[in-house]
Amino acid sequence: MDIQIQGINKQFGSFTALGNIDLTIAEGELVALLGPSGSGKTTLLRIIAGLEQPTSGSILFGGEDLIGQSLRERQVGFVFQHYALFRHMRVFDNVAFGLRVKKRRERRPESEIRDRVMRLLRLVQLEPFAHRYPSQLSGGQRQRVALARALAIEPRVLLLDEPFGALDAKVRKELRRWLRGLHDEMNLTSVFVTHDQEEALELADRVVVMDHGRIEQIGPPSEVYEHPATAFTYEFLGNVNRFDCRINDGRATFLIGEITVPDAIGDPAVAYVRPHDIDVFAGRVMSGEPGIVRYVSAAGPLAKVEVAVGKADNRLIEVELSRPQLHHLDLKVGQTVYVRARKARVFSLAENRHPSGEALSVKSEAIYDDGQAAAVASGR
Amino acid sequence: MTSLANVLPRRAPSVLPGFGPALGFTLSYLGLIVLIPLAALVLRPWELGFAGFVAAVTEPRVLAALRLSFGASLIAAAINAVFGLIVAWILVRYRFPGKRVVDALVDLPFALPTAVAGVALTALYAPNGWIGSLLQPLGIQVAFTPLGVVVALTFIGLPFVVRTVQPVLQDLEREVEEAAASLGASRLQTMVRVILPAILPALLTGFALALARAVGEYGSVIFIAGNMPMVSEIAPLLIVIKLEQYDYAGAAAVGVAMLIIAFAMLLVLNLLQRWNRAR
Repeated sequence: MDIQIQGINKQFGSFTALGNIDLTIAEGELVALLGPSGSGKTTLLRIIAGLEQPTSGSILFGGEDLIGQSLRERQVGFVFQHYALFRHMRVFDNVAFGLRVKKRRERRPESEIRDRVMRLLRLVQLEPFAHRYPSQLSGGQRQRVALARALAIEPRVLLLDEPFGALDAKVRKELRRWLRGLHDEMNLTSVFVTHDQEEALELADRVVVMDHGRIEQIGPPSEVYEHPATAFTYEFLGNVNRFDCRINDGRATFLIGEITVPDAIGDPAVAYVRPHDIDVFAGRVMSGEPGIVRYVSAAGPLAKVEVAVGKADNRLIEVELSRPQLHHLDLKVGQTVYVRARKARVFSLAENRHPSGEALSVKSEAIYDDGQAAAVASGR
Repeated sequence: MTSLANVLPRRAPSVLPGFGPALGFTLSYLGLIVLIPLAALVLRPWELGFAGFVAAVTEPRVLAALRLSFGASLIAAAINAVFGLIVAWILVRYRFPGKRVVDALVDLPFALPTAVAGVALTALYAPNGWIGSLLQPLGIQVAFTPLGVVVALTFIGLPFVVRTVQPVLQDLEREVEEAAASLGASRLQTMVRVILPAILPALLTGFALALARAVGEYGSVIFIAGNMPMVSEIAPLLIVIKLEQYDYAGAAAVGVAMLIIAFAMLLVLNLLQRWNRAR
């Protein structure tokens, strides 16, 4: 069942939670609503479910307008962040709930309900736990019960609100993979809300990036990550260093580098540099900015280094180095180094909402002269 | 060397120190405040002998008083369970002007001297009172009848139900109700299958507290009940009457009978709770 969201607005008093949202979700698609808290992503999900009524606009499932239809009539499977299981019921009864509350003439005989519930419990790999209470299950198991319970009513669409938000990292990863498999098997149109960009990028067919009640960008994960349309998306998807920047004759200059930009970009503008796009030198290099190493963390596949640069060393820059690089540089806290952006993205602040930045390399002719103070810093 | 420490089961070391002194204090305190007076009460009637005790508590007037006391208390507690739940629900779920005042009003029966409550209720429900004069033409008389006893006991029992159910309702996640609705449950089904089972333990506790309080109530009832022997005379009043007649053993006998019945009822409620929790 496809979902069409047309011109949805939601006001809470004078606060606009959602402004004119249009979105079409194809049948069988798995879509992530990604955004920081307060971006309106959960409100949008709740409006699709019918838990919340929009101020204006319409929601269509397979062409049928749902506005005014109650939650009961919509037949959506909704999975809550904190599971919302019925604590006084066993796992079996939780899953059977939706089947047992049906109107008498639609209700299946108890033996059929039993078969269906057991089949679902097998699907979520919880068959042996049918007679436990939710309090006797782990977080991951509870969330799977919630999922089985939502699937029991044969929903037209499946909606998940931060489904893995309350779980620890390892379980989250497992459950994510498992949910992806389940989705591919059942081919049920699904929408999930998350603030975790990794989760959205890994799990979804399409990612909808939201901020301040608006959609910033819609696209497949790779496209959203590789070609962020707006400054917000760029900043939200992954770590980033942000620099104020001056534009002069098609060149954008910022603290740790400069790049050529199209004419369309004018002042004021902002440059973003990902931590892994910054080079660190032990000695002076051309257009390298001097700074002091403040912190080195070698845990994990990439080493994280913080360098204080700028006047009075008041600007902390995050840098990610590969282990061999770190080993080669042999950085110590307190050491003076030179940092330079290898790659940057410039967005014009004036037209923040329109994609106008281009990914360009910082001039690559700068000399890298490991340790020897050879090249003279460019006269910026 | 066999010391006492080796004989006693080893207690797991706890982060909270002072288990020994705390338990000792608890036991002596309970003994002093609860057990010793009760023991004195239980020992007293035996000067009548067993047959005398049985005769004292099976006297028709005593039986009628016990029946009234416990019957009216059960009815009052049941009324409070229903309406106290509604009051708690409204206080938790809705915002309305004057909510704080309503919230504070609930506690008034706690604070008011019960005699004052009794006098006020009598004035209201007497045949010439505000409410009594309205009920009179319908043939309903409240003051000076067993119905008056129920009214007084309902009044003093209300806060117990509201105050035990309120926090549990507060903790009940909205999401659970939303989940029930999204699974297709009607409001009634959500109420009966999801909300009520969740608050049942608290409701039972509130019921038990209201019941216990009502059984022991004296001050407010004696004003409104009329205190006619065999009709509207409650057991605590009968005890006072016996005391005034220097029938200490007889008074103690009624007291012990009340103690046993009350204990049995609370025990049943407790077992119900446990059964409910184990489910």
